[in-house]
Amino acid sequence: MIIRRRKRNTWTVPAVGVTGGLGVAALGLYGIKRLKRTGDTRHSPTTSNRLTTTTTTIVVNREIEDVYQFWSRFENFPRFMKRLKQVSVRKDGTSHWKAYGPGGQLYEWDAETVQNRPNQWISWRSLADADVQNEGSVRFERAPGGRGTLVRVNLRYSPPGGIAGKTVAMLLGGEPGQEVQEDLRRFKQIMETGEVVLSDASVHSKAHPARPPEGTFRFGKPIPGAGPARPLTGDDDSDADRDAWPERDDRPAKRSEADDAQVAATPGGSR
Amino acid sequence: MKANCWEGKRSVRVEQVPDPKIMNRRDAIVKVSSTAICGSDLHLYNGLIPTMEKGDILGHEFMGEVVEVGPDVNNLRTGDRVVVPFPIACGNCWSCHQKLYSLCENSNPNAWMAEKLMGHSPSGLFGYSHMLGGYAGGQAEYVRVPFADVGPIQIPNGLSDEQVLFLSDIVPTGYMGAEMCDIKPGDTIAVWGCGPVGQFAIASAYLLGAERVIAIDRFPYRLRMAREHSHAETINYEEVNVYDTLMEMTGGRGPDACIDAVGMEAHVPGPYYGYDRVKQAMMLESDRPFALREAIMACRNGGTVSVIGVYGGLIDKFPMGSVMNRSLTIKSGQCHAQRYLKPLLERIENGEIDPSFVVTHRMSLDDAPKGFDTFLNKADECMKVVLKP
Repeated sequence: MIIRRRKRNTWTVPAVGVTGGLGVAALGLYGIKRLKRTGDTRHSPTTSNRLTTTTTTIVVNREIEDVYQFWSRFENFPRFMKRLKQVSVRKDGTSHWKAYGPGGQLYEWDAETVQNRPNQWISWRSLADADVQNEGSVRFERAPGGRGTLVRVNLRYSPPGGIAGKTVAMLLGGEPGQEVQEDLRRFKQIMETGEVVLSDASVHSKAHPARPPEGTFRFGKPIPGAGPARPLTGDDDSDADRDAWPERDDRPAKRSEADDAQVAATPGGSR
Repeated sequence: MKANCWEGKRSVRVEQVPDPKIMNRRDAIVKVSSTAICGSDLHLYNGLIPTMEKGDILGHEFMGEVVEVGPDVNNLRTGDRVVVPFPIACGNCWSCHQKLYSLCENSNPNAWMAEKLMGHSPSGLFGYSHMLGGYAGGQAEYVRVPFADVGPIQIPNGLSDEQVLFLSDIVPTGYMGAEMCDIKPGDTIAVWGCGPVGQFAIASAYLLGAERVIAIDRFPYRLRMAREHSHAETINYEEVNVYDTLMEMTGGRGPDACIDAVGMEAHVPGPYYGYDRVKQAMMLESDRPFALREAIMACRNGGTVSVIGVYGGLIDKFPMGSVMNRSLTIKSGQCHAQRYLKPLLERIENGEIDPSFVVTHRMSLDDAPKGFDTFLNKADECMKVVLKP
């Protein structure tokens, strides 16, 4: 049930001249082998039964309860999943998803939560009539030594456009496993630092030199449940942890929310 | 604003670019008062670091005045005078908690590129390729500083820019190079490379209790600085065989620890230079590791080889047998600069060290291309170029 199609206009992970740039450092056979890295166990897409499966994992330096809380709000997904435009959860527990396909078309579907075991496991799947048939699960485990939380995500979906669509997507750089890995990296950034970390080049959808963007730039609002949290207690050297935390002085913060609006209104290049 | 941009191999140009903006809530904007050209910028200049884009703003050694802060920066205010360390670090991830700031897990938005080449990604760096973040650098009038609540250190008035500017990189890098040697009283330390980082490694080795420091280079003016400023003994590798001379000086035992402050673009007399230079040009090897090979072979049994010179990728003919059979320890890393800012600033304030002695050239930011050329060719006895926007 494709409701409407429209061009994609969100930012994407930059291609940044990977072919040109990394080509400079082809570094012989070793480098070429590493760059292809087909046997990566952290994100290994396989196709069976017309569903593409992707498994990825990451360690987040937060307590398992915090990580579960953030993930259990499906509305948060578009903050770190690049292809998702919006997820809205209804009172009956089902949810409505909007996502961009490989060609930039917008796809929509309904999904339901299959299982939800607090601090352990969440799984969801699209309802029967969905155009993009998909299901996902996430498992949370305490990392050894109190070093945060292991997050393991498993996604299974029928690629929009079938196998052909998937092939095209991979040719365009959207290898599914790598994409989910980047989604998880952004999840970690939000949980640990408070938001998705941007660089001068990474905010652009295409290759762009590392120089500030033109015009104005609106930074994000605080994200509820995002980091930074206090250091975890189980780390090896708790004194070092305390030292590592920047000392904050008692002077009032210079800026308020009202100032934020002003920044957005200030045209770039005014200095 | 004006900024010095990478245009391609051996080409930089000062261009008009957009002003930096607050892009994350923990950013600050710094108006640069002084910035420097680092020896590692020459690796970019020579086109040896992959994933550079035409138009990238260079520079990771800079300081200045805070002119704008994001809403979540509570430790800085406009008007504060700060030095900014070159690794970008969040302060929240496991690596940052271990004080391994140059391995921050969150500050490189292009981590996947570095992972392909190195297995895992280090932190993002200012002005140092897209593989290491794609951040604009500080050879500019203004610069955006991410995680401004973690990196920058406030500088008291009374200290000149040139006294504190090098806290951004080369002073802590040289210091960490010496610290990794785990120096005991009576130790002899050999330092390959008498550029600015080598000079600070030499001075730091003495500061940390070394009895003798032997400095190795080929430029007489650099060896002279090591002798005159730090009272190091010196070896000119174009005049004598380094290994033989070191053995002669240490009774055949070898230095207790060796510091490689040269990195991937080493030079060596004789046919080996041609061998590695050709392999580098053919991209069969990215780095020329002469200094590292020599440091390993010369180090005493059970000693430490400390590598602070920058390597980009792969090396060839690595004497692993020497490392393994002789119980050598290799320690290495991009400097975890945030760790050292406060203690080293205190030493500068106390007058124990004055890093300004390395400065030989002062130029306007407009002359950055000339600065790169002078520094690359070691013209006019160039040791360190400071640019003023």
